[in-house]
Amino acid sequence: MSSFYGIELGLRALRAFQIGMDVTGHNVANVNTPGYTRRRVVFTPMPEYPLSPRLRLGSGVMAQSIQRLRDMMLEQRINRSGADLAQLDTLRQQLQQIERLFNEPGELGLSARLDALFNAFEELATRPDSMAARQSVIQAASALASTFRTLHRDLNTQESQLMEQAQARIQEANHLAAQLGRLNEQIRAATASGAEPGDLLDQRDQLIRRLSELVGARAHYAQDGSVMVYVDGHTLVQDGAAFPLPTTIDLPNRALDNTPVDIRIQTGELRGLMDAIANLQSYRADLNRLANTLITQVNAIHATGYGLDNNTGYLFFDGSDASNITLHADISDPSHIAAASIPNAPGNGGIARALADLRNTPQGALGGVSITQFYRNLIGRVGNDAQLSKNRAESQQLTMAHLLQLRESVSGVSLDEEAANLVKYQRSYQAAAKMISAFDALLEDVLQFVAPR
Amino acid sequence: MRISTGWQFWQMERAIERANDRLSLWQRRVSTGRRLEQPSDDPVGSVHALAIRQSLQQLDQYGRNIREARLFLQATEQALADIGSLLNEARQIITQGANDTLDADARDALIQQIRRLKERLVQLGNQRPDGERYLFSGQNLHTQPFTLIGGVLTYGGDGNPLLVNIASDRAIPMNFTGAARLADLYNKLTDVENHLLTGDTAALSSIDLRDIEAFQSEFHRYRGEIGVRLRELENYETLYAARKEQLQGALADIEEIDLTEAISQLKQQELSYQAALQVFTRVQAINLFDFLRGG
Repeated sequence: MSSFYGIELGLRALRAFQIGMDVTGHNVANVNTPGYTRRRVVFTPMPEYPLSPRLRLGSGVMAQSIQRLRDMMLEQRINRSGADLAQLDTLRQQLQQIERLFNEPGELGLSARLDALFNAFEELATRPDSMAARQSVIQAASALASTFRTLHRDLNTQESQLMEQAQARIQEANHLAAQLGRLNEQIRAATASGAEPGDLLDQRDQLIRRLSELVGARAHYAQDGSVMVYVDGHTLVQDGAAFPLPTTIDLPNRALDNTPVDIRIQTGELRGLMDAIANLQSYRADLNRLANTLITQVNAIHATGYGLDNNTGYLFFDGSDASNITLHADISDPSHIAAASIPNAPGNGGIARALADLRNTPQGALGGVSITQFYRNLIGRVGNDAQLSKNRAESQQLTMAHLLQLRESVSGVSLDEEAANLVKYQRSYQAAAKMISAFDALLEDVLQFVAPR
Repeated sequence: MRISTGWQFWQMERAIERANDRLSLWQRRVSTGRRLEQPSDDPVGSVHALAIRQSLQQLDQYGRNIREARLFLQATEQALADIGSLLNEARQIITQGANDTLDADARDALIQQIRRLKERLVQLGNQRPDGERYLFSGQNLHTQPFTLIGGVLTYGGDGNPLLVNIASDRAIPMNFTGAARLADLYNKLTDVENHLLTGDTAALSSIDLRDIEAFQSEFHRYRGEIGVRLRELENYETLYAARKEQLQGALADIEEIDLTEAISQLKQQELSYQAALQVFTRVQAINLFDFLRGG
C-alpha cells in the first residue's frame, strides 16, 4: 500500500464531488430550458483493496454515471396527449376565426339582411304602387346579395389559408424527420462509445414531441438508443433515414394520399386543420344551399307576377349560389318588380305578399325548414362547433397539465433541491480537501523524521 | 410530490394568465354591456336571439302596415260618413218633394239641392286622400273610379281589396270594396231629380223614399264594417306594443349583462388578479439560494 494512498483517495472524492457540483451547475443553468431532463450523478464506492486476508480497505468513491431522470411511459403518454391537445387547440382557434366571419349576432350579419329584405317585400305588399317601396326592395336585396358574396369569399380565403397551413405542417414534419434521422446516427455512435449522450437525447425527445404535435407521430425506442417514428402505417424515420410524408391531402378520409396505402392522420395540428377545413366546407355548402333556395323560390314566385308596366315573367335574382347571387338585370328598372298577381292593378300586392311569406315558409330543399330558420340553424351549428371544440380543448389542457406536472415532478429541475445539492457537494468537497491536508500533515511528520537536519 | 422550479413558475404564469383573461372578459362586458359576442358564447341563446330579432323586425313592419292601413281606412270612414249625411239630406229633399202642395219655386230649389248632392257624391267618390291614390278604385289605384257618361255615372275601378298584412296569418282590406254602389246611388239620385222635375210625388213618396232608406242602412252597415277593421288595427297595435316589450326583455336577457352582477364580477376578478400577482412576487422571493447567500 502506497504512502500516498490517502491522498489519492481524497483526490478521487474531490473529483467525484466536483462532478456532482458540475452536474448541479448544469441543472441550474438549464432550469428554464424547455425539454431539459434533470441529471443526477450516481456515486459508487471504489473496489475494496485487500490489506490482509482479514482486512479489506475501501478505496474511496467514483462518479459512475450521470443519469437522466425520465419516465419513458410517461413521456409517451405526454406525446400522445400533446398531439390531441394540438389537434383540439388548432380546431378551436380556427373555428373561432371562422365563426367571426359570420358577423353574428349583429346588424351586418346575413340574418339582419334577410329580415330587411322580407320587410321590404312586406312594405311593397302594402304599397305596391310606391316607387320608394320598390327602391327599398332593390336596396335590401342588393345588400343581402353582397353579404352572401362577401361571406362566401371570406370563407374561401379562410379555406385557402387553412390549406396553406396544413401544407406548412407537413413540410415542417418532413424537415424535423430529416433532422431526427441525423440525430439518430449521432446518438447511436455516442451510445456505442459507452456514455449516455444526454443533451442529444433531450434534443431527440423534443423533436419527437413536436412531430407528434404536428402529425400525431408515434415513437418506438430501440435498444441501441435509436428511435423509429411512424405515422399511421407509414415509417417516418428509421435509423438514419427519413421517409417524408406525401403532400396531397384527402380531406374526407382525413388522410394523405400515398401508395400503396393512404396515411390516416389521427391527431395533431394537421388533423385539427383538416377538421377545421371540413367544418368550413360544410358551412359553405349550407350557405350555398340557402342562397340557391332563396334565388329559386323568389324567382319562381316573382316570374308569375306583373310589374307596373303590366309585363310578366321578370326574374328577381340572378346566380346559382352564395358566390354569384346578384339582382337580375330584369329588375334594374324598379317598376319591373312584379308586386302584382294580376295585370293592370297597381294596387295589387299579391306577389309581394307571397314573397314576404317566404320568410316563414318551410322549404323542401332545406329539409323542411324556412329560409330564415335554416340560417339560424347554421349559426347555431357554427356556434356549437366552436363552443364544443373550446370545451374539449380546455379539458384536454387539464389532462395535459396533469401529465406535465407528473413529468416535471420526475424530470424538472428544482432550484431548492439544486441549492441543497450544491451545499452538500461543497461541504463534501471541503471535507475531502481537509482529508488530503490531514494526510499531507501526516506525510510531513514522516518526512521531518527522515530528513537530514 | 416533488415540485420543480419550472413547474412552479409555469403554474403561476398560468394562474395570472387565467385571472387576466377573466378580468378582461368582464371589463369588456361592463364597457359594452353585452354578454354575447360570438355565437359560441351561447349557441342556443344566439339562435334564440336571431329568432327574437326577426320577430321584432316583423312586429315593426306590421306596425308600419297598421299605420298605413289606418290612414286609408280613416279616409274611407270619413267618406262613408259624408255619404251618410248626404243621404240624410237626400231623404229630407224627397219627403219635402213628395208634398203635393209644393209651389214651383220651392220645387226648383229642391232640384238644385239634389244636383249639388250629385256633384258632391262624384267628388267624394273620386277623392285621393294622399294626392296619388284613389280611395275607391280598388287595386286599379291610379285610375279615376267614377266617370259620367251621358248623365250616367259608371264605375271604372275593379273593386278589389287592397290587402295589408297586419299579422303573419291576417290580411285585411284597407279599402271599401263596394264602391260600385256609389254609382248606383248617383243614378238613384238622378231618378229623384227626374221625379222632382215631373212632379211625380207618388214615386217620390214610395219607391224613392224606400230606396234612399235602403241606401242609408246599407251605407250605415259599410261604415260599421270599416269601424270594425279600425278597431282590429287598434287591438293588434296594443297587442304588438306588449309583445315588443316582452321580446325586447327576452333579447336583453340573452344578449346583455346585468350591470349590477357584472360590476360585482369585475371587482371580484380584479381581486383574483391582484392575488395572483401577489402570490407570484411572494413565491419568487422564496428560494434556498437567497438564504445561502449570507452564509
